[in-house]
Amino acid sequence: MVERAGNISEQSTAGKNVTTQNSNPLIVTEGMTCGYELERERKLLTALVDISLTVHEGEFMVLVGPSGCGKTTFINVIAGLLKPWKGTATFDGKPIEGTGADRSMVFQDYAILPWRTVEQNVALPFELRDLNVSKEEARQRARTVIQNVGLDGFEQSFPHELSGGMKQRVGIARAMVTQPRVLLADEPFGALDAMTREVLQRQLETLVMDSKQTVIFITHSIDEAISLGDRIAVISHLPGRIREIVDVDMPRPRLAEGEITSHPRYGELREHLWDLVKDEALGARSEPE
Amino acid sequence: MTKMDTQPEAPAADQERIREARWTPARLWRKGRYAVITIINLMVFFTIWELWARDLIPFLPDLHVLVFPTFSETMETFKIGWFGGGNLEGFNNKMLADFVIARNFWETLKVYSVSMLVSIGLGIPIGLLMGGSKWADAILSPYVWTLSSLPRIAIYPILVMIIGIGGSFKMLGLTFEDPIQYWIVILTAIFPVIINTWAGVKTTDQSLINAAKVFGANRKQLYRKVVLPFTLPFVVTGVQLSLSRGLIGVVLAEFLTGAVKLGGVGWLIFRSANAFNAPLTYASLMSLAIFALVLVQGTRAMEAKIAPWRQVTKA
Repeated sequence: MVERAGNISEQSTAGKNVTTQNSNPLIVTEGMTCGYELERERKLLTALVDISLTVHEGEFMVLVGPSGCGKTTFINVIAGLLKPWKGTATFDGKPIEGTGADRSMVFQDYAILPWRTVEQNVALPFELRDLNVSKEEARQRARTVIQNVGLDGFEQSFPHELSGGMKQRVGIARAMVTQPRVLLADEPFGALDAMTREVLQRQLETLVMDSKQTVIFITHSIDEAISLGDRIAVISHLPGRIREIVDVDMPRPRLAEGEITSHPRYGELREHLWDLVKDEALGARSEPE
Repeated sequence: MTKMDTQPEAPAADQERIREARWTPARLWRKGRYAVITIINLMVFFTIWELWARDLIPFLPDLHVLVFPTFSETMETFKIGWFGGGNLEGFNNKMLADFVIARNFWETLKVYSVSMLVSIGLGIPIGLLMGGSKWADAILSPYVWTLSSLPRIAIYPILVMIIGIGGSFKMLGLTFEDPIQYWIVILTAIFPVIINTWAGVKTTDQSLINAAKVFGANRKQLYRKVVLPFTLPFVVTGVQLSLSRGLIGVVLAEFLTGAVKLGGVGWLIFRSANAFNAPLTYASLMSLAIFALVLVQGTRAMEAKIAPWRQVTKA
């Protein structure tokens, strides 16, 4: 991996779209340890230990690891829902204190409000925060994003009338409507069927390539990680530590044209990543729940 | 952002896919058969009742006319009790008078509706308070749970000692006769509202709360835009339960104290049965049944309107 680093910076200075190692660090965590309280057992559970990770502006960072390894805890800290126990987490040089309009999130279980129409759901961020956006403009922007995610015609539908894939499009539209600096995605395609997932992956890639959106993306699928990520942080299990950060030195677009799996680097990366998580994944299974 | 290219879930612009279904006899029957079955079912039920009461069905035991009136006589009593105009000469009972059911029903309705308004109006805020504040929950929950598990009628003697039977109570320029009746109804009806509202607040989906927080909700917005709408269908369920509990309460209250002043349908049932005025008992009971049915079905329709997303998950 290391010997390829030179290659990557060459590519990025040449104006290519692979990695953005040279741009500003946007999110920096240093020696971050965090966890949460299990209320019923009255125990404190350490989920992440000593996480030092830098996400640059315009970078697509993927966190991959077995389930229950603390990926969600990491993203919750960045979102401002959790406070780190030790170490620091900064956004644009300032420590993260609470949520902010510059960070949006897409949830695994969609988390859209069932009593609101698609349009009302997408416009929610404008209602909750005073972003100096008039009502009319908020509506207009909601409609545009809804169109961008391919939901035009469903503005007045309620979530229970939509399929899972469409619900997650609402979730994505709601996250994008305020044009946040970082998009946090917590296994957004985990609950979807394989076909819908693939379609949404392609669309996400297009979206990200066009807008140079900074993304932190959680998945437990190695294939998804390689298809989407600029860099992949492999997290180990119980408690979560960073095993390795892997550069995905493959050109974009990876999904829109042709079959990415036939790319020679794909197999190598996949094998390497699988080696890293294999023991964890197999070990985790034999552990008692 | 560019427009995403494919739209797999969007409906195809295909006029052939959705067509008007035509009303064929077979389709009409499929849609309407349950209504038809219900009508036939009731007709059979009332016919058997009539024949049985006239002792025309040999294998059914003969019940005395004093305790088991015919359907036709019950309906006649029902008509006179509600709409008057009865020729009372042929009737061998002294209690039946024009409008007797209507008059008593009005008394019941007054006590019931006022008590229900109080139960709902107090129950919802108490439930919200208990769900939203751990302090309020800790302080109120011993009383709420004890009283809600206790058979409420067991505290009736205490109510009699404190409030007494009869008397009246003035508030807002209105006079409420026999306040113990209101107390009984409120105490039987308020707890389902409190507990269901509390449960709604407590079970609000954590990921909805997290989402609202991420998108900037402060505490007030979190309650107004997430917790309250989420709780609303729970409140409706609570109100539904408490409406039928309240009905038990009001009949019970009238059994116990109706004779003092107000009467009421409950009292009418009790009193007429004691006097072996079976047609009046049955007619009053029927009125109560219709009222309860309308009430419950009405709130069910309300529930479907208020929270359509829950209907889908239930189906």
